[in-house]
Amino acid sequence: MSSSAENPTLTAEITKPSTEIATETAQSAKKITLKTSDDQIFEVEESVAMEFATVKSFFEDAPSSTDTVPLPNVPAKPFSQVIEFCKEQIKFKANPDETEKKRSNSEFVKEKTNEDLVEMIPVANYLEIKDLLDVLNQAVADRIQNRSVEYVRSFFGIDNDFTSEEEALLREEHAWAFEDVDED
Amino acid sequence: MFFTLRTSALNFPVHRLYHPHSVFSSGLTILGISARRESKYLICKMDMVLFQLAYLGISGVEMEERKWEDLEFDCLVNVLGRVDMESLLLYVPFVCKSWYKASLNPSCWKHLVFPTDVDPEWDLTLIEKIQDGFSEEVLKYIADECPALISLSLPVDHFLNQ
Repeated sequence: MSSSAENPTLTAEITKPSTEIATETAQSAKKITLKTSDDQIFEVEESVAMEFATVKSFFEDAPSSTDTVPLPNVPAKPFSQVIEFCKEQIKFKANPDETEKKRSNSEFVKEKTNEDLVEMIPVANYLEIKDLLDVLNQAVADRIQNRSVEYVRSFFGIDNDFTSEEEALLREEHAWAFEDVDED
Repeated sequence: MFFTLRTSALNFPVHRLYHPHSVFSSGLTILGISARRESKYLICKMDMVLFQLAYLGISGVEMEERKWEDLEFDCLVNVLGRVDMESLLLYVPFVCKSWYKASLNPSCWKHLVFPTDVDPEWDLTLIEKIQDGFSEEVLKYIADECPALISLSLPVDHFLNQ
């Protein structure tokens, strides 16, 4: 009983990596070299790089260019995660499945730390990856919703730059909003 | 300019016809900054939100010159536009100066979703006020003054009864 139950999961595990290998061996496609702000070189499949609108327009202007594309606003760490996302996205381009795509997107953000998300947003913005930006912004909004000011500050690593007078004034301006609100 | 008031059950468009200012002798003082203490929380809140929107609608038209560092500002506004109204009012402005500034951006206030889990007491007050004050003219005023507003959701199905 237990062995027959194990078998399907086992085969599923075997088939999954093998398809990944298949796609990887098929990637004799053109590669594009990208250089991040911290001078790391990324070789990315053309199809993935074309997900970055900024890079795409670069190649539209100079189609035959084989130069390394500099990405001056993009550090390597969030960039590698962005590439990971775009690779996933491409799979859904081939066979669209909205529910699976949603699941995969929420999985993607779920395993990211707050810091990861916050670092990826400017990168997605600079590279103009609209889908990713949507996913990230929503994820961050969900995480800071109904959280205290202190929580949000530490989330983004923000220092409170209000003087106590300014803060008092602002509290006064917003006092109406706090009526009948329980401290929590 | 076109404006839709969206309740859960009813959509109706209001065209921009009136110039504001004269519209308010009604029970719902949209311009009441003074957060009338005798009235219930939600009404106060609504008054102020709409006032804020009205104000922002005007100031939002004057676009500042864009700089490259505004990119991050745009991202922030995009995120804040997805946060619910309560957080946007009670927490976001107090985080830091740039967040305060971002929270005033009209884009954060495009979709106003009033909480559905309101105390029935507030709800009643809201409905009463709306019934005698929240007329089409009020909506026209909002439409006029809040150009960035796309949707406004109120926790009331009672519009149907009108």
